[in-house]
Amino acid sequence: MTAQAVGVSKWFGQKVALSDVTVDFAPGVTGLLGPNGAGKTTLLRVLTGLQVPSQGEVKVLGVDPRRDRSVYARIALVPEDEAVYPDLTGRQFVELRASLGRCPDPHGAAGRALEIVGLTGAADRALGGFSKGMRQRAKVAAALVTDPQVLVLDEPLNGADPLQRAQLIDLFVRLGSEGRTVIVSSHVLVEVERMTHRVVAMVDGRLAAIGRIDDLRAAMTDKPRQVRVTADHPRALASALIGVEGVEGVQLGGDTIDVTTTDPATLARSLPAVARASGIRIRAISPADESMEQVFRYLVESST
Amino acid sequence: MNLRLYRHLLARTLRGKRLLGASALASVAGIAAWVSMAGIDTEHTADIYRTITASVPAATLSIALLIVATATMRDERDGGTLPYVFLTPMSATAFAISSSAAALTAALTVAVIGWIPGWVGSWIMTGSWDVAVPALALYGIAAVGYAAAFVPLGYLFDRSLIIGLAYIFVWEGILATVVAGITPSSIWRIAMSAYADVDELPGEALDMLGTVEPGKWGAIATIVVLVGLGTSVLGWSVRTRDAV
Repeated sequence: MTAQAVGVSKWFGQKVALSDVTVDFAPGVTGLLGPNGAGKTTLLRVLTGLQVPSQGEVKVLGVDPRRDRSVYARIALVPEDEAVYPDLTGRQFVELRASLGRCPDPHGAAGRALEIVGLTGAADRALGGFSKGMRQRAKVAAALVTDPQVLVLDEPLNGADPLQRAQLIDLFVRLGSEGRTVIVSSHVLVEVERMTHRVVAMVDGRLAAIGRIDDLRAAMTDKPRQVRVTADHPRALASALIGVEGVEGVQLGGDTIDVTTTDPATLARSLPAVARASGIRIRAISPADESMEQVFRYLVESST
Repeated sequence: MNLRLYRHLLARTLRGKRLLGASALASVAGIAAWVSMAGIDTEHTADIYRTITASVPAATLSIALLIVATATMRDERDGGTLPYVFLTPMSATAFAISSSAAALTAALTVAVIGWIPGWVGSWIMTGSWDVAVPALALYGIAAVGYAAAFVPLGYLFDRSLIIGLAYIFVWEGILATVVAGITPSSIWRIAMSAYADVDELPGEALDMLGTVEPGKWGAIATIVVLVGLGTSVLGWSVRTRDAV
């Protein structure tokens, strides 16, 4: 594991922001999900050493960043705040980070990082004149310039337009596939889903779930599963399925039907038999509630 | 010491409007002395300069230095840019030394700029460049002392300016004046003790010292200890306190 929090709690006066969170982050992209106020930003700040845990301990690349600050040569953070230095140009800002991060060639490294995020053309303009999306990309460039092993991104897609979002998502996926640990916090689940299927979900300062999104869904045995079936005669199939073992409910929608079941294994056996008996041809079967959004909604519901 | 961080923080601290405002505030005493010397007997002009320099900057120069010194870290914290300088592979000690050095340089810059009008004024009124030169000891030691004390405030507290103002007006201005036991904790009086040692101050100016004895070496030693303490507190804060 390249980054881990063990039994971490963080409170501010009476307010508990994190409660006994134990989580590991491995190389690759991990999505950190949670509604506003879930503690995502606090967890990222504690992981990077910006905030000191009230309880528990944090290790990144084997050390506590607070105790061994040399590890900051291999960690980078894109903070959630929009803040940048408005008087500096994009290039000066990235070069500043490169110099402070002890890059051997700050100018060259800054040029390369700006090119990666597509800001070469605007590099010599003041950050104060940048759009929100451009500032986000400048922050990403400032994080990439030190070639970090662990990259922590707090809502990195905020303000970016759709094209920029797609480019940044591709970039994060590539960085993860190169073996870096990329931790991305976001409340836009569809975008996280495009980056990774490995998620850490937080609710009210607590860890709600951790793992692959399909594994999380499979583990929710108390929630009936929904299966979408595409068939030649959906209305007839819906009628035939009522009362079949394992079927809790059927909902018709266009040329598909959503079958609710508490026993997917039994449904898998009975569905082909029912279709065959009714002379109906099944064209496709797919899970209807394994999207990140659906699973996340379940997690939030069961945690609150 | 990290020179890149030092240069960055110094440039941020001495941004245009702040440098202008702090320098103007620091210059008030010199300008007041200049104006007060006008139309006075040549025999007494130097003493007027010394008396005003011993008193007025206690409220004006110290506030200018408070603004500048707390800004060194407060700007980064309030502006949300602290993570960019905090997440850097340098020890907490190096971080604290670089930040303190930037604040001391900025404070000294403002102090020297603030001293210049009085220096020019005293030359015009007395015909001598030497009258105001000893006051450099006062301005310089005050700059270093206040900066050393106020830099950690800017890192630790959102309301660092209010805390600093309370120190200047309540602690130094009232308590240190009436309670003899705490007079030596006044940075202004420590700086004054050096001034009183390198120049012959009139009685009104010496009154500012209270129970503190004149002595430039004692003042320098105290300020060196204060710089060490301020830097240590900042280093401790970087290691143990939240950086957002």
